[in-house]
Formats: sequence, C-alpha cells, structure tokens
Amino acid sequence: MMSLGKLITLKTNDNEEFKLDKTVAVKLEIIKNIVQDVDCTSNVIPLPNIDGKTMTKVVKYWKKHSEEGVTEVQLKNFDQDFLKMSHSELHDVHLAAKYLDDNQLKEVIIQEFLDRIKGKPIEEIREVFGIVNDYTPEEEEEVRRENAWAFE
Amino acid sequence: MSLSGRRRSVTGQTSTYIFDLLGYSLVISDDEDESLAQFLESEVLAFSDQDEWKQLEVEDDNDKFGVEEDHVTEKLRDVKDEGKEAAREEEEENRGAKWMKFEEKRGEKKVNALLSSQSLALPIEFKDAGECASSPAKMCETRMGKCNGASTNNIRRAPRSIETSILSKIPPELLHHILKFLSSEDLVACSLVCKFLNGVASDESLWRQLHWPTLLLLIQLEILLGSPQGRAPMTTNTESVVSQLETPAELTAIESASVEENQMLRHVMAQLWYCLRWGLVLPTKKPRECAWKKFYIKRDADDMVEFVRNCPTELKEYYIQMQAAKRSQTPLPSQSLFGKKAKVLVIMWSMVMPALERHALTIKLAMYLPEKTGNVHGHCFDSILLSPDEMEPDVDQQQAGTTDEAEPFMGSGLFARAYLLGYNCNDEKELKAALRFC
Repeated sequence: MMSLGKLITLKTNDNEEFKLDKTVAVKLEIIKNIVQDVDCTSNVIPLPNIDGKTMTKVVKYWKKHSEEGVTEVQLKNFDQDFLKMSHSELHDVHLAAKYLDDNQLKEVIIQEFLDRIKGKPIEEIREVFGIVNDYTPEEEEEVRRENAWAFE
Repeated sequence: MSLSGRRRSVTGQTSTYIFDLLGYSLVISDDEDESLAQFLESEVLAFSDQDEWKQLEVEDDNDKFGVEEDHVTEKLRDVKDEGKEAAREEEEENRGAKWMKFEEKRGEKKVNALLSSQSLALPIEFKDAGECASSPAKMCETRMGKCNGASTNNIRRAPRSIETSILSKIPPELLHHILKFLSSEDLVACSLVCKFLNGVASDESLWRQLHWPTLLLLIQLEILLGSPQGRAPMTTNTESVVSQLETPAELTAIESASVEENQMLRHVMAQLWYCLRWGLVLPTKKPRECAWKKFYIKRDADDMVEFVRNCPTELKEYYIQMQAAKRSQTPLPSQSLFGKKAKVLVIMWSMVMPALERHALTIKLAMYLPEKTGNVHGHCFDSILLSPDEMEPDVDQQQAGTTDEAEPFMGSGLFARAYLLGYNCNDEKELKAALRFC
C-alpha cells in the first residue's frame, strides 16, 4: 500500500515532522498497523501524545538501533549516552515508548530508573529524585520500625 | 472461550514434561512450550486487563485519585452514551468555569500528570491550558471534584506529597512495573523516602512475588523427592537450594535435614498457602495491611535467627552478612527461574495432586503474566484472594473429599499436607492449630 514512498512521516503534537525510513518505522507494531489501516493518500501519521523534543530522542534511538553493522559495544555506549538525561526527560521518553508500544526502549528506560534507585540509601534517593520528606518524626520512626530488618 | 474444554489439552501436553522430569532431565521442547505459552497467554490476556484496574485501585490506598478517576471516566462515558450533546456541552462549560477558578487558586503550579497515560483512553479531550494538556484525566478529575464539592481535601492534600517528585509523574502502573524489579532491601528504602513511595512500595503484589523462589523451591522438592513419608531430603539453607533449582539433577545430592528443620519448612509452606488464600482478610473481615510484606520481614528474621543460631561464634558477623545479602537479591534474578522450569514445576505439581488442579492451574496461568505482559504474578492470585466466596464450594468439596478417607493426606507428600493445612484454614487460630500437627 505504502510502497510508493519509502518515507513515512510522523507528526508530533507541536507540528514537528519526522521522516522515517519505512523499514525503520514498521518495526513498531503500532506504526505498522497504522500504515496498514490508514489510506495511503495521507502519508502523515499524527502522534498527538508526543512532543517534538521527545520524539527527536526516540527517533535517534530507533535509527541507531536499526543501523546495520553496529557492534554491540557501540550500541552499549550509545545507550549509555542516550540515557544521560534528566528524570523528566526520561519520563517523557518512557511515556512515548509506552504509547508507541516499543518494548525494547521501555526496558532500557526502566533499567535506567532502576539503576537510579538500586542500592542507594534513603537520603540519596530523596536527593536524586528531589523528594521532600513528608513524614513527621513520629511517623518516620513508626515506618522505620515496621520496616526494620533483623540484625541491622 | 471455555476454559475447561481447553484444559484437557493442556493436561495432555504436560505428560511430556512429566516424562522429562522423571528422568531428572529438564530438557524442554521449545516449540511445545511456546505453543503452550501462546495458548495460556491468550486465555490470560483476556482478563489481565480488567485486573489491571483492580490492581491500580489497590496500588495506593492513600491515592484516592485512582478510584475517583474510574468514577469520572464512568460518568463521562455515561454522558456520551446517552448522546445528550447539549447536556454535555453545558457540563463542559460549567467545568471550564470552575477550572478557571481552580487554576487561579493554584497559580502557576502545575498539576502533576499522575494519571496521564490513562488519559489516552478518555473519551473527552481538553485542549486548553497547554502545559496541562498531557493530563486531561487529572484535570477533569479535579474539575469533577470541584463540581461535587467533595474532594477539595484531595486537591489540597494529595498533590502536595506527590508534587514533590518526578517519580510521582510516572503513572502508577509504570511505577509499579519499575519497582517490581527492586529487591526487598531497596523496597524498604523506598518506603522510608516519603509517604507516596511508601504506599507504592508496600504494594502486596511486589512483596508476594518476593516469596516466589521459596514457594517454587518447595513445590519442586515436593515433586521430585516428596512422597515417602518421614523422608527428610532438604536443608533450611534456602540460598544453596535456590541455586539447585537451576540444576535440578543434582537435587538428589542434597543432604538430609533434621526433623526440626523439615517441620520449619512445612510451617513456612502452610503459612504461605494460608497467605495466598487469606492474605488480605483478617478474621474480622477487614483488609489486612501489608500481609505479604510483614510476612516477608518476619520470615527474614526467622531465617536469620535460624541461620545464625548454629554458627561458630567467631564467624557470626560473616554469617549475618551472608544472610543479609539475600535481601538485595532482585525478585527476578533470571528469566529461567520464573520461566520454563517454574511453569513445568507447577504443571507437574498439578498432576501430582489432581484435587488441587484448579488452583495449580491458576498459579500456572499466573506464571505467564510477568513475562508476556509485564504484569506481576499477583493478578491471578488476586482473583483468588478477592473473591473467597467464589471459592467456597470448591473448598468444601475438597474438605468433604478428604474427610471421607481414613487418612486424609495419604499418598501426598509433606508439602501437599502443608498446602492443604494452610489453604483450608479459615482463620489464624485454625492455622495455628493445624501447624501443631504438621
């Protein structure tokens, strides 16, 4: 159906357009389905839930991961760089990945979130995520008691 | 789709697994397993979605938004279904006005998009207030709250704690999905960070899944070594035995344990099953708070005492450290532990104890959730736990069946007995009484 143009255009909610190679785009179930369902006269697929900034990142990730001849190490390095973003950006990308049903990207991001929590003391978690302690001292004592490990 | 009809075919397939396992070789045909997985998945997915709503509601008791949003969505749908366009417009206008007031009051403060992902499903979209566009669910919910004049408290109270953090922007189900991969130690740390996280991190299903290694281990031991009564083929050192799960062929080499140790394991088993059935209900019929979490921490303490008791005094420090290291073990150390072998084990178990096949089938189905849909084992168990009434006839049947025989547990292994004891108890008193005989 879409064989005429090899490029698929994705349009985000702030009217930014992304031209993607069809082979890259149809890796995603959701885009594949849209491409199959929507008539081919309008080649633009609207993405009402994603803004341009986030989409730029997602597209960057897709492109890198669908390149040919990229070694595992290169991909790993790319992922590391890719994930160096603020929490809110990470969250936006996560939502976008969820909306686009991209499991690979979702997993990568969840792993990143996990790494930011894992093995850290309480104060550090608060600091990293900018959480204000809303316990009163008594409450905190109570929760601490409830969650106490033996021999600690 | 009739489950019972398809069930027969599943049991048919399982004979292959049994054969494999009896030869102590856990070689599983990938194709078969795949097809089985697909079938079960198709069965499970049908109701996993509904469960997700339940899950969300349970997720955070403090967070009344989850429930309220349901309410709102329902209302909005009603409006839509009736097709009263005029009424709808009016209502929208009305809400719009209220919203303006609300926004003034809040100033530039942004309402966090706690429920933004669900907003995709909302029938009505609001196009105003650009920066809030990502959270129409929340917006209309707060508006609704204004209209009802009921949830002003919520507006003031809840956002304060959730507004403070980026984590709170993550929709509940995603946050839950993230926390799922944390170890018990990290979950406890999260609990202490703030109230909001405490609510999320104390979620029952998170802690329930932390019990899985033990449960699977017990099931496996039951199947492979179970039946001869009085035989005591296991140790209390779960650490070493859990790793045995990866290489079941070596299980025969496990040293014998004392009668005492065996008894303790059976206690754990009975308690686990008791929790599975009644974990959320107290004798007073009130929801028990964080039963699984408390149970986990209690068991951890018990294990620790048991583990340290017999160690040489000079090595005590190291023993404690070793035991404590278990807390940082993530709940899903490898897919294989919760993957094929686990499935096979439970399927086998259901064959060993046909009377309990129904329950085992539920467990079996639950096994597929984490891998395929990213949901927690909990969902299927919730269906057991949340509807104990439904289960009653079945349980009665079991009891009737077992009391008919002179020796009710004849032929079953140690843990089959523990299962029955734990599962059939109606309250904690009964459980305690039952444990005396176990």
